[in-house]
Amino acid sequence: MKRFLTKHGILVLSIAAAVMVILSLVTFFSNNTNALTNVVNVIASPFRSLSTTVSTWIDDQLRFASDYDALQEENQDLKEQIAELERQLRQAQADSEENATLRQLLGLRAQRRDFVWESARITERDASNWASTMQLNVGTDYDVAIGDCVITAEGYLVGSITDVGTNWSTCTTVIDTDASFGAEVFRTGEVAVAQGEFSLMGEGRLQLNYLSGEDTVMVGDLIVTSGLGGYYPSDLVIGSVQEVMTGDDGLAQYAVLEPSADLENLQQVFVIKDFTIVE
Amino acid sequence: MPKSYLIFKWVVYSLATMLLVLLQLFVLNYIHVGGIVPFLPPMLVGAAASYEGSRASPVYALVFGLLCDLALTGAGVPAGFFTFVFTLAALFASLLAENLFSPGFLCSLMSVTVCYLVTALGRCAVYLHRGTASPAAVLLMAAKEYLVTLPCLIVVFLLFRQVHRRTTVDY
Repeated sequence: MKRFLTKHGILVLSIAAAVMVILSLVTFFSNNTNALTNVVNVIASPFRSLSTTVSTWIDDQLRFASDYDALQEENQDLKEQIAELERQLRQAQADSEENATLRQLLGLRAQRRDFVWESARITERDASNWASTMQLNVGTDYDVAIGDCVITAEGYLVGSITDVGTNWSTCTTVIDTDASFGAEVFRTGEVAVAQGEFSLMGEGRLQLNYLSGEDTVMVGDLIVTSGLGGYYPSDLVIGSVQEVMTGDDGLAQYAVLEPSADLENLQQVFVIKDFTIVE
Repeated sequence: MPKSYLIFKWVVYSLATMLLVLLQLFVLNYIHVGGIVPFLPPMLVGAAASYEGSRASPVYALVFGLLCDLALTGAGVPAGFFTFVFTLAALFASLLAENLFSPGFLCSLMSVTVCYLVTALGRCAVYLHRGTASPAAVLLMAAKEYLVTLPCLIVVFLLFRQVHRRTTVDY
């Protein structure tokens, strides 16, 4: 054993360590993903798409019968919601016209939110228990870059791009332990930070940290992105408060959030490549 | 052992590995047991270590780990993690298999357990460095992952045993 450890074993382990150092250095010094990772993922991308297509089809077939009753019920609820939303829309149109008139009177610039986005399909969900990421079928060929925000069709925040290759990208979701977003309590305007937390990740939830005072958030409060620093757009819905807790020190409060985006069942997302917001 | 035979042997091992990777990709990724998804890679390294010993299995683990590093871009670990951890795990597992057990299911089970343990300790170090999770939480998750994946050992063991039997000739 001693001879083995001093010769072959140490040699192989040294090669492994060298490979690790090289990969780390290449990743550290490159803006995008390194070439080797890119090549492997370009090759793997069609297999990922195939696996997702097959599993989605099987899942759809299995759930068809059981979903029927639930869909009928949901349809009725949605009809009621549409009626309520139409009423709110009529009121909002009147408010919007009034707002535009007042802005004109005060000489303010018109509010606008311009997004340049790219539609993307999820080709694979991470299944490693250790991270919450998803592979998308768009990459640098569609000008997607690291740091871009990913949202659902409803405008709910899904996460951000953390790796990008030629025809693929990795989106790290809001519940991942590496995720951190400037957040704002919609009701009060209080600024905080929404972060993934390891034990909550398995439950599909995240934390809202750095709350300034006591009783500043309530269960049910809507949490949106703050947009501070201009890194991410403001007012993207992150989620709603499920629980308000006190930290281990007995002083600081934090909240547990449930993301608004249905991360388990998403198939289509939108990558925000550029944005202009005038408040 | 002739070089051509060695190449044949590792081609067969590669095909068996690919088959199990497809099992992970198409089947296991969609099985959730108590919210935990089975994770095969450390099991493959452990099973190979129990059959191929301390000379060949660390090389297999190094190559397989490198492929995992390149393909699993969103796995929550730093670049090169699987390359190093799997090689180290294969070293320990093969030494254990060679010195303490005779080849068989028990030997594979012990090797695989060692591989999961080394991987878990590696993850502990990563999360401790990042400060995003406590070691207890990481080890608990690793234990759950190991237990959920363990039934797959029957398939992996039988497949690797067949590969080993059909590709090993005493010279």
